[in-house]
Amino acid sequence: MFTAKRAALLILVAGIIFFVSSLLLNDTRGQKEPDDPNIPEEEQQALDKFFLNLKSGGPSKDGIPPIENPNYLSITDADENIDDNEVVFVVESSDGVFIYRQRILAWHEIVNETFSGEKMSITYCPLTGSAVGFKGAVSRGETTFGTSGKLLNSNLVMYDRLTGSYIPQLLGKAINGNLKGERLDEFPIIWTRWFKAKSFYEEAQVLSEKTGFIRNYRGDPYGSYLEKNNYYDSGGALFPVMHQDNRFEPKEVVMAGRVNETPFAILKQKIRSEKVMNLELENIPLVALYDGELDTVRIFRRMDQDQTLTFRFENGDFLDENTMSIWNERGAAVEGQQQGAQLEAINSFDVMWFAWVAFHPETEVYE
Amino acid sequence: MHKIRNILKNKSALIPGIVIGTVYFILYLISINHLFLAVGEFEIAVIDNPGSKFFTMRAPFLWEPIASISFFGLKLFIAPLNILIGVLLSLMVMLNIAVAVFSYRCKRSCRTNLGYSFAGFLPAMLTGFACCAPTFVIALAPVLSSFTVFFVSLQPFLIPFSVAVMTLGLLWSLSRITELNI
Repeated sequence: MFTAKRAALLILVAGIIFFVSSLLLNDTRGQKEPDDPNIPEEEQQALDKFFLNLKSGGPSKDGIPPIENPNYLSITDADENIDDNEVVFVVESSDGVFIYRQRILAWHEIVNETFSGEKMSITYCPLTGSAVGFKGAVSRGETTFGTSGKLLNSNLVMYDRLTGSYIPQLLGKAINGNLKGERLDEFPIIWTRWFKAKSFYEEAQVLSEKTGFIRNYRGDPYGSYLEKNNYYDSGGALFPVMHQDNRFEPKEVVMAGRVNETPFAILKQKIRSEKVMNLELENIPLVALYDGELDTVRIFRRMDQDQTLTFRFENGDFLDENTMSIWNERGAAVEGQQQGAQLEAINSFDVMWFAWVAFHPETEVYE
Repeated sequence: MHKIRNILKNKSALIPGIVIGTVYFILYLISINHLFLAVGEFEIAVIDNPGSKFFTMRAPFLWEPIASISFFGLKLFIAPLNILIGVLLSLMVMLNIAVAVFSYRCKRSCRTNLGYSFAGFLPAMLTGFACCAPTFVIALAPVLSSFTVFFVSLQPFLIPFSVAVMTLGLLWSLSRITELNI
C-alpha cells in the first residue's frame, strides 16, 4: 500500500539524486582535446583551463537565437517606440551607420550581418555589459556565430558555425576545436544612448523588432538601464568567475581592449571627467579621448611617425603639447602643424569590471 | 478513476480545483514570460513559417513562440507545446486541490487524517518553483553565484519532478480517502 512515509521517502531519494546529479552533470566538462603543436604550451594550458570552466547558462545551443536577417527602420520611424535614454549600440560600417537596440539584443545576443560583402557579427552579452564586434573571416573561411548556451565567467560563449569552436566573447579567441588559439578580428561598436545616437546619426538605420522571433522587447529579463539598483549597476556576477578582483565595484564600467595581446582597462568614469588620458602600455604610448557627443571613449596609439605625442584637453579641444595642434575625438588632427594626421585606433569596448578581470587577471588598469 | 470521478462530481471540491488550476496556468505562463502586461490594440501576429519553429526548444521544456495575441492590455505568446504543458500541470493541480478540499471537508465525517489534505497543495507549490525558475534564479543568484549553476542544472528535471510529485501526491491522497460512498 502506498503510504505517506513511502511517498516521503521516495521524494527524499529523488531529491538527493537530483542534487547530486546537478553537481556532477556539468555538461561542459568535455574530454581534453589533443594538444595542438602550433600553440605554445602555456597558452594551451590557459585555453584548456577556460574550456574546463565553461558552465551551462540554461538555454540550449542557439536557444538564445541570433538574428540572421535583420530588418531596419529609419530614425524617425524607430523614434516612436524608443525611450531617449535607452542604450543602443552603433556600428559605423562601409554600408552606412546601423544602430542596434540593447533591449532587442538582450534577447538575441548576436546579429549576423554582411557589410560590403563581408560577414560581421554584432555581439552583446547582458550579464557582462559588453558589446563587441567580430568579423567573420577565420583561417578556415568565413563564418557566422551562434550562441552555445554556455557561459564562461558569466560571459557569452559563442560558437562559429564553420567548425563549432567555442569563442568566449570577452576573450575573442577560440578555446577548443579547429580554431583553437585563433583570435577573431574585431571592429568598433559604440555604446551610447538613443537620444545621442539619433541626434548624431540622422541617416542611420535602426534594428527593427521584426526579428523573425516573438519576444517581449519592451522588457529586459536581466534588469534595466533606465533605472537604478538592478543587475546592471549593482551586485555581483550571476555565475561563478575564475578570478575576482575587488579594486572596483563589480559592475563598474571600464573601457577594455588589448594591444599585442596585453590587456588593459580604463575606468570610463575617469575618462568622462578628465576627457583625456595619456597611457603607457608595455612601452607603447596610448591616449584615451572622451567623446562627449556620444559618451564614448576612443583609444589610439599616440605616435606620429616616430614621435610620441602628449595630449591635453583645453577649452573644449584636444591638443598635442608637442605642436599645439588641435585634434578631434576620432584621433584626426584638424588644425595646426599636424593637420591631416590620423592616429592609429586601438579597438576597445565597454565592459563590467568583474568580467574583464575574470578573463584577464593581469590586466593593466588605468584610473 | 472511480474515486476521482466521484470527487469531481462534488462541486464544493471541483470549483476550488478549477479556480486554483486556472490561476496556476496563468502563473505558469507569466513565469515563462509568455503572458505579460502590454499596452496596445487587439492584434494577432504569427511568425513566418511557424511550422519550422513549432518544435524548436529554447531551453528544457521551453519552446519558441510561433504567434502572439494582444488583448485587454495583455500579450500572450503562443508556443503550443508550452500551452500543452501548462494545461497538463494545471490539470494536475486542479485534481490535487479538488481531492485535498474533498478530503478536508470529508474529515468531519470520515475517519481520516488531516495531514494528507496538504499533500494536494505541496506538489502544486513545488511546481511554482519549476515554472518560476528563471525569475527565481535571477533574484537569488547574486547572493551566491554557485547556486545559479546548481539551479540551472536542475532545470531539465523540474517539470518531470513536479509531475511525478503531483501524481504521487494525488495517488497518496486518493488512497487515504476511505469514505464509504466513494
